[in-house]
Amino acid sequence: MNKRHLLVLVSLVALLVIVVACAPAPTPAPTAAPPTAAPKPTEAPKPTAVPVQPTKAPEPTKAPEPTKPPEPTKPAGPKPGGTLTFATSIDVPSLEPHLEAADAWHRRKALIYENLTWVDNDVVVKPQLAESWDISSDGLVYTFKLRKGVKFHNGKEMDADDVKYSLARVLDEKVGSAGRGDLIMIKQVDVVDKSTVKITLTEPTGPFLVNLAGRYNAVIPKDSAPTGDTLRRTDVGTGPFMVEEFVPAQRLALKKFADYWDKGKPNLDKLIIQVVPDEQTALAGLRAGTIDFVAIEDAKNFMLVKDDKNLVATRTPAIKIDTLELPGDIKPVSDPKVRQAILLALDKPAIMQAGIMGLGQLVGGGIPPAMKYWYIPVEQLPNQKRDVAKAKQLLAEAGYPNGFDLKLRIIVGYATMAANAPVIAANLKEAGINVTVETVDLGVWIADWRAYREPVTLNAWGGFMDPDLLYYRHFHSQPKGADFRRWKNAKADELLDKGRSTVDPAQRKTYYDELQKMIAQDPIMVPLYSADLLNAMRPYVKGYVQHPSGWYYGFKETWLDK
Amino acid sequence: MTKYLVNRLLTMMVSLFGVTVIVFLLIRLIPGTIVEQMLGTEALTSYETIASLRRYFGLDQPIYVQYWEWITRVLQGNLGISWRTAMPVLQFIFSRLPVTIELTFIAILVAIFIGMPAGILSALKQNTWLDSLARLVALTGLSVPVFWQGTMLILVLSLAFQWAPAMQWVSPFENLVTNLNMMLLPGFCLGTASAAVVMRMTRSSMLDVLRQEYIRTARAKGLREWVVLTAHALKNALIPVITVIGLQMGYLLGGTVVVEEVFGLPGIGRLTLWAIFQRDYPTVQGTILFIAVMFMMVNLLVDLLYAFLDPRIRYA
Repeated sequence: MNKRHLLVLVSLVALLVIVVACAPAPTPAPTAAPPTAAPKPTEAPKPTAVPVQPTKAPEPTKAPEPTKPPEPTKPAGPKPGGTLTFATSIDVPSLEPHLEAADAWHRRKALIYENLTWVDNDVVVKPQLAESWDISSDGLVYTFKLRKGVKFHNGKEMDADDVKYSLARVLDEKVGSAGRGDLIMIKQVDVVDKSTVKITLTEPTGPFLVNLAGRYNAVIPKDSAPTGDTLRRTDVGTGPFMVEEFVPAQRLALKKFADYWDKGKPNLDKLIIQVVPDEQTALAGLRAGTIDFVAIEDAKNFMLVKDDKNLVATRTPAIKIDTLELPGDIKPVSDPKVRQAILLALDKPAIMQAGIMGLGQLVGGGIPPAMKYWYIPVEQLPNQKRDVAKAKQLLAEAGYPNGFDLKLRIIVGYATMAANAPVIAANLKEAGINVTVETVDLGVWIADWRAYREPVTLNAWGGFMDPDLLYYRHFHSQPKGADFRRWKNAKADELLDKGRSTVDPAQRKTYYDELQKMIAQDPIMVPLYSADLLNAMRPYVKGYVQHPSGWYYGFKETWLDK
Repeated sequence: MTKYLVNRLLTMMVSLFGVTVIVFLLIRLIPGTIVEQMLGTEALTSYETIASLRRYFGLDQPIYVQYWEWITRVLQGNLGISWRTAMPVLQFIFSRLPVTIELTFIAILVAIFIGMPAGILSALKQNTWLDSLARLVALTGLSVPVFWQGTMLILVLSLAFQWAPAMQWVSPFENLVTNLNMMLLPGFCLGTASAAVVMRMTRSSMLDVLRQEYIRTARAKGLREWVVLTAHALKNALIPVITVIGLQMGYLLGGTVVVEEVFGLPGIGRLTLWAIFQRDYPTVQGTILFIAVMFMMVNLLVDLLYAFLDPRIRYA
């Protein structure tokens, strides 16, 4: 009898493992991209004078006060008050501001924590907790004037010491933040006075202001996080919302921070972020009215609601790309001609149709259209029009007149990769390349990626807010970069170094324009498309603007018209 | 009886030991650890960072050392701290337990109230159209995947009636209406599958008993048919059915993963799945061990109940 119990249990456990192996990987997007972005939305630097009020005890999670009744605000327009229930299938394991790497957290974090700078909806750096800054002529010294009257959720007033502490914590190797790389160029942080911080860099860094807005950064009160565990389940940010209740894998209930420096914001009293693992269930809740807003991950589900007259469905171009990676040291794709032939053989619109129902933007040089300033339209790049004949000719020139066999990797659980792979295989077949698809577990994939031995694979990138963050680590040769594709391209190195060390954006743009053209010419990585961010909401949800990073800044402005 | 109990408990300990070893090894066989989960494929994360995190979680230790450290703590009643949330595992489990218990309870009720009458009816009307129909329905109930049934029910109800189950769980003692609003549908989905099992067992057991000599005797001595059926046939036929229900209960307590996922219920099943995705080893080990203990306890109770119901069975 007991043996039988044991057997049953063992099979149960085995079953669980199988379920896991087969289930779509939920949280981690296979981001091979150096992420960095910015928190909270603000308008132009407004000197905000927050009267010093008697503050609550430093009780981070559940401040006693309910929420103040909405003050009579502006005539028409946003109505303050109300609770919005937001459903998403991706969940947050912890709230640690400097350590947690889950993209789902960074999306939420934008509402809770803030930085000196943020990158706005047009992907332009704007002040956030800093009011203004000066950059020395050699590009090495940044002097930040801090916004006055900014309070933490625990009531403490923010000052220069807190900024210094926060940067130092991310940089501390013992803390183990993955954001250390974003700040590694910081030589020294000096507190000039209570509201002035001077940051000295080891070398001029073009994207430094974007890095400061990075996903791993957050200004927290000095000494508020002695260990890595302290801030995992509570918060001490300065953002428009504060954590009311956090139940891992279930719910993050946020409430309006009454002392928020941007007076009058946010409009909502409460924002309940509910994890609903099954998107169909979430959409059923939206139809029934138990949910007000759903962030949709699966394009197929978007098609179900886009024509529903009782709902509003929106698409926003995003900062992310799906790619086909062609390593530079594995035959036959090590030959640039073969890589170019592969690119020419691909029917990108068809691949996008299969992967995401066509709900996206085509990408040619790696930079997606959402990064308006840096993007070069596909039509202006070489090799973007399908030309199978030319592909065959290039293959013949490279010594493969009869094509070759190619193994293409995809990751378990990534539905878009699984949908893209057959189209890619069919496209390449026409040029004589026989593709077999190999599916591996994310863990295996990451291990190979880190060990610089990833073969031809599909990949998904996201979270970069500056071309430097998109390209440098991935394409610059070692040791300064990681060159995961073993491109070893001196010209690319030079452009990347210039782009990084130049502060003037117009000058930087010339370098990245050239790099985009290089990648289109010699596709060491074939950018396929950028999937749009998809949302569906009840018609009374107003004022939400989706940030292209996928982060939820928009809820700061959102209000309910009911 | 006491000796029997002690014996059972002792063998249970041995089984549990096996469970701990298997769970411990299996979860470590899945590629990737919490460190990858925490860091992603992150940028300039140095190998020192990775190494220090591995050290922090004790992943740099040999596996038998890790096991020893875990098991000695478990023996002191401490399931450890969840790596991903910094929450005590036991507290984590207890926060999820009510959902799973309620779900199991509703499902078992559904299974009993659909499965037993259907089984009895089917047995009494053996080989009639009613019997065929009941068996067909049962077969369908067994064959239709619970997640599909759940998704379809949600879709149809939301489209036709603009109704969807509540998304946030509240205790039935706090607000019974909201609670049932959320739990009835998943409980029903889960229950129908078990109902099929119960129905089939009831039917075959009933058929078996109806062929017994004492039933003929009862009828021969002129008892009314319903007395024969309830007092003699059913009473005896239900003993194996109770075993099946007990087993189902055990499965449901640990096997509600899919339904919890579809309906977004914060139960033990989803916790386990979540912990596996996150490679949160202490939570995975803790929940599975917990499920194992519950499963074994339910089985023990069923066996004891068995003896209580059937006086012929005595554990010496």
